[in-house]
Amino acid sequence: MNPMAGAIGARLVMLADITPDPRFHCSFPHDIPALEASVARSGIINPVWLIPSEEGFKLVGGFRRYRAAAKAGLEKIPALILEGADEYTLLLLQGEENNHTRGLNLVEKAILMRSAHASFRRTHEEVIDTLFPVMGLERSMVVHDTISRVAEYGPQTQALIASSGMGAKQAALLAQFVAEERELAAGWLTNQRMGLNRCARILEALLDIRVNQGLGAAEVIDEMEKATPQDWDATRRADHIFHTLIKKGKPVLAGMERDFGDALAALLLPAQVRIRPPKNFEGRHLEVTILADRVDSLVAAIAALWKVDRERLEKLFKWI
Amino acid sequence: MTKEARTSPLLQRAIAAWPGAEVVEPISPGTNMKDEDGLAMAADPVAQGKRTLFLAPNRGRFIRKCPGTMGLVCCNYWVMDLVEGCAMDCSYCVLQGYLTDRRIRLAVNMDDLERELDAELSATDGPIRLGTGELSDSLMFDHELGLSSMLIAMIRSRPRVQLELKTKTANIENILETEPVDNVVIAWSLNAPALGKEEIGASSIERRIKAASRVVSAGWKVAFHFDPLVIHAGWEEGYRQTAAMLADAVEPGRVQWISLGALRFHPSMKDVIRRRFGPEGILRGEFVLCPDNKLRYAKPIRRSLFDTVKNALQEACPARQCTFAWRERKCGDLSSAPCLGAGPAAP
Repeated sequence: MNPMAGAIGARLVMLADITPDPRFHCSFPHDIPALEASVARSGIINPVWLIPSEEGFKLVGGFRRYRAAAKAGLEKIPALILEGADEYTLLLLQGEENNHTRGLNLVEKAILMRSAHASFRRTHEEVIDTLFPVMGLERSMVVHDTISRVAEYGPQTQALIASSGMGAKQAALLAQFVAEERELAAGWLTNQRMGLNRCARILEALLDIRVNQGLGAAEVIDEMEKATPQDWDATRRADHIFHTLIKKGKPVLAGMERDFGDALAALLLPAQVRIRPPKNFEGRHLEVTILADRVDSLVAAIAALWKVDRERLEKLFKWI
Repeated sequence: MTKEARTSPLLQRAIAAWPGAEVVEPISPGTNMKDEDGLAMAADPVAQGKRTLFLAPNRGRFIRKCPGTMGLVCCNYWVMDLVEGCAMDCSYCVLQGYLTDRRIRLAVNMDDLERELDAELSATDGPIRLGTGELSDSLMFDHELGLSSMLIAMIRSRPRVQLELKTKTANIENILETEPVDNVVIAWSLNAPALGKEEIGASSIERRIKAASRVVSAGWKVAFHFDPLVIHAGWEEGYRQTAAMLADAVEPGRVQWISLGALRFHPSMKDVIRRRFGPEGILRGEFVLCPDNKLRYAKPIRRSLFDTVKNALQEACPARQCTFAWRERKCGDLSSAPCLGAGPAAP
């Protein structure tokens, strides 16, 4: 039965009569400044969900609204009282409602799953059968296991997952780090304000560096910090760190690029002639561009190319 | 199995080979092609899928031209999808992420295969080089199901088809009991011996080469695929060792071709490999994304791999006994699988 069928219309309830039930609490991060400002300005617009208890009411939906109301000093808030509802069904409904209205992040999904297992004694299969559809997750034990771990991650890692919008794929990357290293890398990435794509690429690079060069995340992060001036603005620092770290993860490719750059510089071509290798040197052609704003300039560029020593030019084609 | 498979002789052979196996005939058409439900609930659906043999008619095409890879030399190969899925569990295997049905699927409508093959032959002028080892291992269940005998019998009367049965096993008893056919080649995937731990369920390199030697002695043509070449501790010595073992055991004149291919995989496979086999192992090395959206070792590494293995084979195989001809176009082709044709030297 839909628990809403038993709901009494919204009514005002004293905040003091409400006790949050942690089994239903999945919001992460816990507070949202914009919501708090809205509640302080206009009060609670959508009623929270309550079930009756011996002491008054238990809060089962609308935890952030409740906290915002408390912070704003409201005495009463509108609430739907759900009488006689099955509690696990309420958990599912709460998950569905949140997922549809604002989209649950991966940490929240993990918290809901943990609650379903630990507080409602549901098996893995039952969680996959009932909770996964309302959270829009693919029916898979692999996904279940990947997301479950997120609930156990440290606060820095959870903050990164939530703020960057990571999915199960990126969470699987984080699972490759030991806890301490994961927290360190996550906190550092959050500070750099890297987007999702860059976060994933940096995590991949950190793993590659560990496997191929035997350096842990702490050593690499330290190296990146030393190589990046502290007085640069955040965007410039993030760009520099990203490119330096990706290059560090690909030393052979970096060497090829360096050799190519040296060979190109040795040609002493005018600046208007630009020669680029294919991406990762995987391709059959060099890209040669001549920038010319008049015929004389074009002729001069072609003449310069014509004069280049062939042997030196061959060096550009070493990996093409 | 589906109900169409009930009368298939392959079903009877399977039941006889695995008497303890549960035989399930799906009752609803919706469940007969996929059992993703059971596999979805497995902690490792890839490994779980390997425990189910699914017998059903192939409703699609059996034979297709290998798509090759964009911009790289195509070896003009045709693939025959009689079996999809493999009982072995190699860490680098592309099937982990490629097949949607994770079970091992065995097609029971061999008559349709024969008809399709004849249709292809009438539509094509030249020879057709055909292999069954693209989505499976050609001999993995040969002692149980005897597929090689059925296929060889089919190919024997079609001389324009050259069939390659490619394997990582030593399951050659049926081959040895069959009269050799000129247009059938038995091929082995080979690697450095230390890579054995990455090929769960496969025969050791020594056993594969020994099997090849016995097959050659019985009069069959053979081929070898050093694919995927993998960077690992002691890889140079490892590949030299395999080349030396091969040269010692197999008469070069019976070797139709040797191909080399470096490790390559779709980026999404990295997650699967890490999850199933850990972050080290075959993921060690510097990979770059190529235009066909596959990760490969950076070019200098690939060149080093190919040069080392090519030289090892040339050193192991005396110049008077065999010639090697690279089918490659500059270094770009180092991303594909250059072929070394090994045959008798010109007089």
